[in-house]
Amino acid sequence: MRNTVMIIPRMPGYQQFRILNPVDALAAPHMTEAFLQDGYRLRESLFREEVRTYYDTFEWQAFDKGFSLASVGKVLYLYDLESGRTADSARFSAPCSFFAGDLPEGTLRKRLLEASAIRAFSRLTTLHISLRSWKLLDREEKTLGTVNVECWRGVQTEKIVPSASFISLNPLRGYQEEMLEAAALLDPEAHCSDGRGVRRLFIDAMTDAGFQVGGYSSKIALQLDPEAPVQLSALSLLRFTTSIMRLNEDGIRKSIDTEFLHDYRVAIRRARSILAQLKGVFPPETALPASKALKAVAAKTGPLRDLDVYLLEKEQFRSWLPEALHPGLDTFFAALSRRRKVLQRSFSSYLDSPEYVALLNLWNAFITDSATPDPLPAPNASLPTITVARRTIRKSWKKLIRHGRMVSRETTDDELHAMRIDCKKLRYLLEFFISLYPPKTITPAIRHLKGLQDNLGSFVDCSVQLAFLSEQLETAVTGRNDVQLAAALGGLMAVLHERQEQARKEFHKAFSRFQDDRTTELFEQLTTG
Amino acid sequence: MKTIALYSIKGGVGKTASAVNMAYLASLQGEPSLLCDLDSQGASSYYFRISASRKYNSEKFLKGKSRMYEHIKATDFDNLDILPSDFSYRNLDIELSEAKKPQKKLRKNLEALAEDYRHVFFDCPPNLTLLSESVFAASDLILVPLIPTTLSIRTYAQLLDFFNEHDLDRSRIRAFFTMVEKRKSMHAEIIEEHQNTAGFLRQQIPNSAEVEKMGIYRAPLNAVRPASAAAKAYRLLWDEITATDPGR
Repeated sequence: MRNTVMIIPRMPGYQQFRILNPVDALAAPHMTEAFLQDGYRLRESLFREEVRTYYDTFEWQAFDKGFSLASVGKVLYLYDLESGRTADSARFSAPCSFFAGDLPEGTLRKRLLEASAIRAFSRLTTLHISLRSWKLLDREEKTLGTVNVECWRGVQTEKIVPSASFISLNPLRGYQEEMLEAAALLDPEAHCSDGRGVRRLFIDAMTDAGFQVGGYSSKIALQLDPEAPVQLSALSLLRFTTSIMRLNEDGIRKSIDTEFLHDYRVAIRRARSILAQLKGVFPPETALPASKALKAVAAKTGPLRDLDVYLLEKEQFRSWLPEALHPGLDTFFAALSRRRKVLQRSFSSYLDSPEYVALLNLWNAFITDSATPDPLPAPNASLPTITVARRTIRKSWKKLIRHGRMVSRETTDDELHAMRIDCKKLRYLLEFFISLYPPKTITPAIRHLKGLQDNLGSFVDCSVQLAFLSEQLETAVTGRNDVQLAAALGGLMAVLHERQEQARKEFHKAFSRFQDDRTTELFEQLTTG
Repeated sequence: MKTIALYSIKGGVGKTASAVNMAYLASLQGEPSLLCDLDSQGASSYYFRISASRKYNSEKFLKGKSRMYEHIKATDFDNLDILPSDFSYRNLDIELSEAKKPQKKLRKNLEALAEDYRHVFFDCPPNLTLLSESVFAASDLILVPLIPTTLSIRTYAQLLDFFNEHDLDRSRIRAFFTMVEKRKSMHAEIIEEHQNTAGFLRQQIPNSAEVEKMGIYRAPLNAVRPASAAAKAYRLLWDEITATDPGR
């Protein structure tokens, strides 16, 4: 019974926590006992060894929420990173990687879904843990709380001494003071308290195992120098997006979740979009082939990503259709899954192909060359970053406004598709240059743009999906003439069409919000010196 | 939150043993229970090896939530906490009489605990005072242990009269027989006479040396001797109470 080890109090703020010198860890409570008040004593209540296999998403989303996640046998535990205490648990035999939605209904599932519904929790490393607990008893033999010593030992390391040890006190409700008195008696030589809780130990253990906790985010975190030549700023962005690409390759190969490919694609789009928008910064004879190399890679990923999107929407699609149409929908999704598997394998082998290596080499040669280019083909390369930022954001913003105003009352598909691309270009510029501006200006500007993007995004998604479904419908009819499949596709198309028309209707409203005085003022501030 | 008082005008009827065992049985259902030891003799607290902290007194008890929180103590059993008795509880009546709405005071103080506990039990002192009235007002259910003797039945009648006189809701009262000795013909006759009376629970608690030994075990009988006849009887009694509870 685990709860007897880590008592989960119903009120917070109960625990005393100290990191121990590992050598002294197990002896510490005994040393304390000699100092206890007359009649008080420690009674050993538990000794257990367990193997914990830790999990988190690629983006460390459990860690970000203040937890570590580990499986012990057939149970999955969530531990609080400050206290080390068990925060939740569920019966679940965790495979190499799993999704929050795979867990049985319950509080742990809910908490993991809050951390991430879309990213897989993957196996990190395994630690051997020994747990020893003592009950602190008073003269009446009443339990006042437990004293726990936890020692961690990495599986890989041959070290005899544990990599980390800590002692924690769990006073029972109403016995905090008595437990604090006992804590004061703990041998001061034995503890090296640094006040950072189990979090520090967890990070160290992960580092030992070769993981950089919190080491991944696809968000742009560049600190640009406004006065630096824009060519160097752009190169630092391109190197960043390239590193994102490379970091995601392995996850794509292993098909862990859909976000590896998504981040990979966004990194390419971002790089190409910035290259295209920074006119006169790089000589076209090197920039164009480099950009084309990336384009060739990206082209290989499009159909795979489309399938990912459908598969992610599976539950939503189901909810749109009456149960009578579910069998047809299942046929549809089964076909998509099979197709996805084929494309995933093919792209994975592409990642290991000489062709890919050659394209990457070409691209890498382009982004490693920091020499100031010849001013004739690249007259703007040496301009201060801030100057170019103002100029390009202004150009992109004005273009978006100009196009938006030209969108007819009919709001044709082509017009809205084009608007969406304009929005993305501006968004990438704002995110690239974000560090040059005060957050109070750039953050709301991005937010307002996002409002418009959401409208256009839902329109375009619907229309892309409609086109795909009608293509499927044709093959369904000419092929095995599967009536159920056709009915399900028809049902989906009706819903998508309605949503698409809804988004179309809302475009003018979304656009007028984007070109109101407040947004205009923000963009004026961003684009004038 | 459900509040249940164990109450008797007469002493020595197995009130504390009933409160301790039933609070323990309620805690086994997995949701937190609180036992409030309102008896200045502190027998409930003693059974759990608990003494009140030195700073606690009746004035603090009446001050409500935050004060009460500080003095709640965990027992050695999961999901079972206790508000220990303190000798100064004998002053509770005086304190209550100075309060603005004494009958409602206790109920109000308890409201704050509603999120923390599924069941709150009161182990009441054996008398009929302002504190008793406060307990009556604060309880969803008033359990009255009775030894099957004429004297016990008489005090039960007095309690019902008191409820009538004060216009209180009698339907919340449930009586049950404790310390029943099958061989005593008077016990059998009295049980026979009242068993089918409205407000009487059917399950009886036998007279048992095991119950008396709770003072030695210093733990609920149902925790240390779950197979004993009295422990079984308490379990069936608790089942009967929860089964007939209209609030579920």
